Amino acid sequence: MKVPTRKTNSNLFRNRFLIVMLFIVCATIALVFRSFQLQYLERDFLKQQADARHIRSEKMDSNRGSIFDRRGIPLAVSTPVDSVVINPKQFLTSTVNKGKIILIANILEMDAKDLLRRIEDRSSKSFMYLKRHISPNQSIEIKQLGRITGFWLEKEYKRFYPAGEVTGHLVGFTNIDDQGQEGLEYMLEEFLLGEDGLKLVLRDANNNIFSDIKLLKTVIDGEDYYSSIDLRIQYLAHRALKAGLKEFKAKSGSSIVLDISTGEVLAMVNQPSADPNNRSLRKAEFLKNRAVTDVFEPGSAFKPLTVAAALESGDFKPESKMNTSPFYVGSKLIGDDRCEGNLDLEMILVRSCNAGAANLSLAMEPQVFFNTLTNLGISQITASGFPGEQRGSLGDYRNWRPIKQATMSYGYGVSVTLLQLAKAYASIANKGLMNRISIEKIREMPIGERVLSEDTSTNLLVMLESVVEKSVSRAKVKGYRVGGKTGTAQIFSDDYSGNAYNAFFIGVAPISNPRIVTVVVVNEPQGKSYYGGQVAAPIFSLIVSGALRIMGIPPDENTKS
Amino acid sequence: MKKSNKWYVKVFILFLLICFSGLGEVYLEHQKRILFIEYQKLIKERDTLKTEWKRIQIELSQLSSGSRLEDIARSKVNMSIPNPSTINIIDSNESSN
Repeated sequence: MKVPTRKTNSNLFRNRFLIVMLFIVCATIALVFRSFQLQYLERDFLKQQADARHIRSEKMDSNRGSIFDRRGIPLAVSTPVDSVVINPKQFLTSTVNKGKIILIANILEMDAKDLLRRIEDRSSKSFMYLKRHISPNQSIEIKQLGRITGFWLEKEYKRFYPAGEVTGHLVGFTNIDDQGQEGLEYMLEEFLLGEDGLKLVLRDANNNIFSDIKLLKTVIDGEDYYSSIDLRIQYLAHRALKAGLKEFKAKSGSSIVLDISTGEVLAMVNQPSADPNNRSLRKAEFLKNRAVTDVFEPGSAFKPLTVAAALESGDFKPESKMNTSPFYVGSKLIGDDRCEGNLDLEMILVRSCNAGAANLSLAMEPQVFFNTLTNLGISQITASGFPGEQRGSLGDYRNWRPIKQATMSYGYGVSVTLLQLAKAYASIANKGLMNRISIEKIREMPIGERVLSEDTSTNLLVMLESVVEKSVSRAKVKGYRVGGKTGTAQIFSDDYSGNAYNAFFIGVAPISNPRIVTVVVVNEPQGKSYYGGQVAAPIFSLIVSGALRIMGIPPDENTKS
Repeated sequence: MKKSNKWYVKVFILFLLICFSGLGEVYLEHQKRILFIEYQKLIKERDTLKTEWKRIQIELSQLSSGSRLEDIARSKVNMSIPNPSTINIIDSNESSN
């Protein structure tokens, strides 16, 4: 009995064993097959699917280069700020999120209902800025909310202008996407711009990066730019011009300070101005860099150039005398009540005789006059690279009629920018050598191009000094010898009958070893005084006395022989 | 017989080498990840420091701005620009005499 039982038992055991083995073998084959299928047959498809879900290429923002003044003080700097981004499609699928909207709206100081409506309007989209460039405190508060589906912060760059309105026109600004719109920011766009990088990252289902995989492209930050501006002089000029405009109730004004030996712009200011950090103030009237974009008739401030041309022609000496009594060219009477009889070139400048200048100009070949003026940069772009720079006009000397040649000698019928005028005076003061105007800090002393003989330059400086000495006391700077010329030009609208004037003063200091040229223009002073000598000269004196002190230039009053 | 034995050894050695190379690859890949993560961490740190540096620069230039200095000079320490008539210029040559 036992044996058969044993036998049946053993048979049963064997059968069971076979069945289990068969099952295991089948399962193994199935597993091997499945893994073969996944690993080899569908590998590409699956890998692609997995990567698409988790691997993202992530942009790495490059940093826009900073702009500094010549001493390394920042004028424009980009710093990272957060922007609030939402994926409306994802965000709206979570019911918890609706409750969080109130919290978010509170932090962003927005209306919750309005916010929800805006999100719902874009429910089919997957990207939307809720608010750009939020404050650091808001960033912290939002981070404290924890993870919210379809809602995150994105790093962006915001441009700060620490000097604010003092450098507003010059530096310009960028738009919300950090692209240069005006001024240096626009001019240097290529230079300041970096190259964004790219990297592969692994993200989880909530879009959070949890691992970097690979660098595809390195970030290249934009380069920093050292401008030639000295912020201290810039501030001084800004303040002096602003106060001057207020005092003389003028519409607008500009001023430039040039370094004579290098051609660098040390200061360039305009009024009215506004703080570029405040986007709502970015209006045309506050933006125009008038010193380079506006052309005007320079009036008497042009006379030294006429004298320069006369001396260059070789037909005149400083002691040559010209008739300064009023006379007619065609039907137009040229002259003024300040001058009469024969005066030498110095006195023509000191008394600013229109008739004297006109006689001088008419005695010259038009081509000679024209050549000296163009050599001095009149009607030529200064190549400073400023956006919107104008070239002004001089006309073709072959078409000049006598009346034009006569009026041009005292700055009518010719238009220039303030920068051109400054450049011409700088060449006169630089022993007749013209430097390129540079807004970038220069590291090597440039070699100027000769545009006037050294004699002419020396003679003119003597004359300019005696103009200040004898007739423009308000331009004087205590302790220093300065030279310069006033200008008061009636503004042409239909004719010259209006009462609108531009008042100028352009000067050189110190005379013993000229270092800076400073130009000041005050447009349309509305008060009782409107002459260059009354309105622009005091502003000039204020800027120059400060600038010489800042630059550490010793007083040269005692060097006068 | 000897020849075929050698053949098996060769295959076995090659097999081992492949295994080692495979493991090496995995190990290096792992190292690379670790280094890359470290690198990214350092970059992040550098960026944070850079940001801080810029913030400090901005702060410095705001604190040292002309208008602020002028304000403090005038109101807090009662400084003023001297009247030109009260300025005496001393010649450095004269003063040494």
